[in-house]
Amino acid sequence: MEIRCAQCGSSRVLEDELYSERQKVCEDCGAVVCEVHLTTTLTEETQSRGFSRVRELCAILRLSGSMESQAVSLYERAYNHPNFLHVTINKKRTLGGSCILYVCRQNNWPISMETIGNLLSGDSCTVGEVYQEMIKSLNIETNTVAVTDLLESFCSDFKLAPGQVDEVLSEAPQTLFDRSSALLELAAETWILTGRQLTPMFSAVLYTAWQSLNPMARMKYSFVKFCQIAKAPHRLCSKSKKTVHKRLTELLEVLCKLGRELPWLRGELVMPLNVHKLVDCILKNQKVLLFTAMKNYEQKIQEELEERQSDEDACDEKHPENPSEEEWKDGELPLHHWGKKHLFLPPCVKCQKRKRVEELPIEVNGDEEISDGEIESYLRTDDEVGVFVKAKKELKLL
Amino acid sequence: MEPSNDVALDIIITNVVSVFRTRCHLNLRTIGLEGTNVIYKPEVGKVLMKLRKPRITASIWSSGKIICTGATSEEEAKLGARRLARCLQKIGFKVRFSDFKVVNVLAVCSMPFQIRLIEFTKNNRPIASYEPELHPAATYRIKTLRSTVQVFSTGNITVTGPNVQSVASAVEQIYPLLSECQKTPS
Repeated sequence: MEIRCAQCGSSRVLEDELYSERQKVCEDCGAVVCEVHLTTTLTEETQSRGFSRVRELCAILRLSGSMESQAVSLYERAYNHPNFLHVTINKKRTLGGSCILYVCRQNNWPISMETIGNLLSGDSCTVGEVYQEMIKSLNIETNTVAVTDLLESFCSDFKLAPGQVDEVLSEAPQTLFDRSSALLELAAETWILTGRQLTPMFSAVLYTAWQSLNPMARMKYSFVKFCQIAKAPHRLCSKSKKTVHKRLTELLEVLCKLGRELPWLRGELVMPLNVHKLVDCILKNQKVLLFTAMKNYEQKIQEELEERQSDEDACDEKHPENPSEEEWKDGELPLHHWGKKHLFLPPCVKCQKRKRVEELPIEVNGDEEISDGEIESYLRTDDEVGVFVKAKKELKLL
Repeated sequence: MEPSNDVALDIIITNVVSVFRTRCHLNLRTIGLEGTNVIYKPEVGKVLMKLRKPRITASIWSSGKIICTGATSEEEAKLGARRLARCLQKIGFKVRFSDFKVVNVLAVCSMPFQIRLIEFTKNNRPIASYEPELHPAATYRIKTLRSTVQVFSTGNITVTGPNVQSVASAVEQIYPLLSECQKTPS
């Protein structure tokens, strides 16, 4: 039923909040058409504040009207769920952010948890926990967002389009995004991306892509300078600078390994500082270069193994039967380690793990007799108890 | 354990958690004084006691509830729990070893292939969930077995369940789903 203003007859009536009181107000003459209801409980008060916060977040993220109404209705449903009714105010705020995250994903609008976390002045892990709890409690299906989908919204934080910066430093957003996503796929293929924080990886990939699109002019700019030129948010360059540098080193190392396989480089040394001009060729021939690099590396390791075997045979030495007992030298994998045959390895294999003390498996059935002798080894005698108590008293006095 | 006729997978049990009750009140200060491998934590109201053989750590509360962790089989967990109860008896408490139960078993297993996690999650929604921003593994919960499998793109999986049999069944159940999504080398 259409509501009309009693004073001017207009049908343009909108809902407004005056303190705790929701009213329908005529847009044309300002008359109060009717009062919807007064919030009388703290729950209603908090809920209405929650709704307005969700709407504000949607406005900041520039979501459409339909997405905003989906987010608000989901928030209402989640808010009244028993799992979220008696939680802290902070958790309710995070719940609002989680609803927006869900709606964005359902509408193929990839937005990262870190973005929501920054808007709520919290961290992405808290947003993630509440998001997963909400999915489980409301029993709703969610889309999995691939990491590459989040790259586009990350790139939009960097102002590098023509007109925003000097011509030499500018790049069309689509070109930059295409180059960055190709580098990100390469990073995923070569185990640099798995299990790592996304923001430093995205920063490293974007920076390398930007430099590679005009290496002559851009190689002199450091990562910090790049963030200043692009007017990137301060958190991106200050918080995780060291990690960004580590990822940059890893990415450039991979590019060098592939660059060395390019057949038209006649003896030219491919180093991290001069590989940027080859990035275009590397990415276009990525699959072939990966295959060639891995094959050549396997052949090289096989030759090394054979050479070592013949040396050992000549000296009558035996290599350890258990390859895991071989020593790691300078953080490098031992020659007989299974990972040595692979050119690109996940970080969990490359790092030397602390040796686990292998205990002989004891054949037990759980109901054996337990002798007094072994139990007494776990107990102090009366004399020892006296000495222990005395020592404690003296230590407290000290 | 062989989930299929062709492939043999090594399932390595890394941790077994068990609980039992002593049916009597325990004075934690006395245990802290008279036990040798003991750490008394008055701020949380418990005592940690470590045994050498089998290598287990027990958390002891004054109510008589005890949680044992670190065993690598259900039998070892029971033996360790009984040794612990005997230690407490020797200290002077009227301990009755009762309500022993294995509550959690953690195992790891390595697949001989890498896995495409996005494809695996899409094929097995909503049982599987994957949030790369939070954790690098996809989680697959098997309600019937009350087990959870975490799948990593390297092919390693970790399985947690209420007992060893459910862990083995979980690996059998998930193997065909993983092999559908294996990453073939290009």
